[in-house]
Amino acid sequence: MLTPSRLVLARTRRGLTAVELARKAGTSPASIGDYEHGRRRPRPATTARLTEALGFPPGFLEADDVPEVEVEFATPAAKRQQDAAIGAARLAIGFDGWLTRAFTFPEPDLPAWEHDDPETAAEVVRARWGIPHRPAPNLVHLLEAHGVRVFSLPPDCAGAGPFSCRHAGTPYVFLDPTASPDQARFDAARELGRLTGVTDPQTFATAFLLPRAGLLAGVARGPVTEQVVAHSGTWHVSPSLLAHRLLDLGLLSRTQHATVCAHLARRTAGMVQRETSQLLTKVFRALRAQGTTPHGIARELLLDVEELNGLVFGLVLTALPGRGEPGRSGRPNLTLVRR
Amino acid sequence: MRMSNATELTAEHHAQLAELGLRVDHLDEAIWAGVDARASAPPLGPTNGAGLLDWIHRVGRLREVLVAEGWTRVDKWNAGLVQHPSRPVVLGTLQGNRHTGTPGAPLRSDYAKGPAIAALMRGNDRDQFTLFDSLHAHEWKLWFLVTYPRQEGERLVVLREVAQPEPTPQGQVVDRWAHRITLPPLVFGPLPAPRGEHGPENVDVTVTPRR
Repeated sequence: MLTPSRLVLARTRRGLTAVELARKAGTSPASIGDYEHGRRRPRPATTARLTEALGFPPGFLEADDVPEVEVEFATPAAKRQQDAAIGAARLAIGFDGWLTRAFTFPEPDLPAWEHDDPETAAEVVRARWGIPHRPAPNLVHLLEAHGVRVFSLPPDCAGAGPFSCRHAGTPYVFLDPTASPDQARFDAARELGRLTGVTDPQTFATAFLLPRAGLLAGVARGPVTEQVVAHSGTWHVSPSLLAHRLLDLGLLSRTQHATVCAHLARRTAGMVQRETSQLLTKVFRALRAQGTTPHGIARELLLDVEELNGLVFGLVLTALPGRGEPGRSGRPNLTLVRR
Repeated sequence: MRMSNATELTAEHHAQLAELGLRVDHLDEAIWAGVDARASAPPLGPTNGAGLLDWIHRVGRLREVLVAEGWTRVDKWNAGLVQHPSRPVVLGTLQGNRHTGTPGAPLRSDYAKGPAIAALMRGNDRDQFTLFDSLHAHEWKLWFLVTYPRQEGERLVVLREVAQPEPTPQGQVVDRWAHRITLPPLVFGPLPAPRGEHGPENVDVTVTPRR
């Protein structure tokens, strides 16, 4: 029997309107509306056609309700893309539920912020997590170690931009897999700010990645472009972000800042490697050791493996696709899932 | 890793510069722009590329900050000068020697000066120690921001002063000075160690299978 909320989820995840889905499935838009609102139930053959048109495995539309999530997007994007991203987030939460039944993970440890100053908020989180003034470690690991689940947005809805949400007490962060390594790290810090409740997550992220006291101690007034680039490597941020921060802290004058930015615009510098997930890497490694493949997980979740891979895209080295079959050498094919 | 004064600037430094309509930050901006530009010299460019870029950007920034305060650029014979809006002061840049910034030490220019500078220096002959007694537009006093970059270990130290030369014939180095305002050097420290190839350090995330 078709679950109405699943039909809505599948349709929006695929970025389709009711009219478009009706055309693909050979039914009428009115019928789609009726099925989604539970006014009518489709016949099994219609459900099968809808499932196929939506590109989900058989049974997906008939499984239990998937939890709703509330998301506030920071990046302007088409509603269709935002709905698709929310759909991906709901599927990720379902995947996380499956993982939580198989593994124990760190408990959420996010300070609830009661004041409005993002600089202070960043200092409080750093102090609580034991990283007072030094460069922040791998942000994805850091979030995971404090109970935040980090997933990727599948590339088809990455344009919605990174976002975060909570479900049943668990904080989730969804990162844009097409972002540069520096940008993805900044996005992770910004979503951390959003989860702690600050009103200016952008400033929080800058202060979190580039703490005032640490910079004042480590960077003297008036660094030239080469020094800004070198320091950005120490702090694992883009040189332009560091230059802006140095301007804010009075370590670069306005004209020096303009000169540095003009030089940076003509060169490529920044983190080389994207930060990956330690939690998901450990999980996939453990599952593989038990003989559980991504295909097996996808089957249990009534997803296809592409959907599952989209949720971990760029975050983890995983086995693809191979369906668990041996390669020519008799060993599974390993593919780097990274942009 | 510092750009700082090795010894402190004094109120007298500030007062002497103020008499010329200058501030230390004007000079520092210009020196900073020159040092910043050095790194953009191509590795296989001419050996004086970094110095040339330093001079171009030092002159450019000095004039940029001073023109913003009412000074006027003077480009006669490509001399790269800037003229005070009301006082008879014209300022240029000059590369000195290792005695730059040291009071009483034998400061001399690194290069011989051409006809434009030689002509302008002639005005320095009169009333050398009384700067502003004439309102005649042609009786300018030519001053230089004299700098000398020196590598000291991993630090780049820029020796600096503002000095008024005595008239010097064309084609000779400048080594006689009517007035020198010696300033403590500006120090640009070493680059921080290069970034690790492996990016930010890892954090251990505890993942335990449920039995």
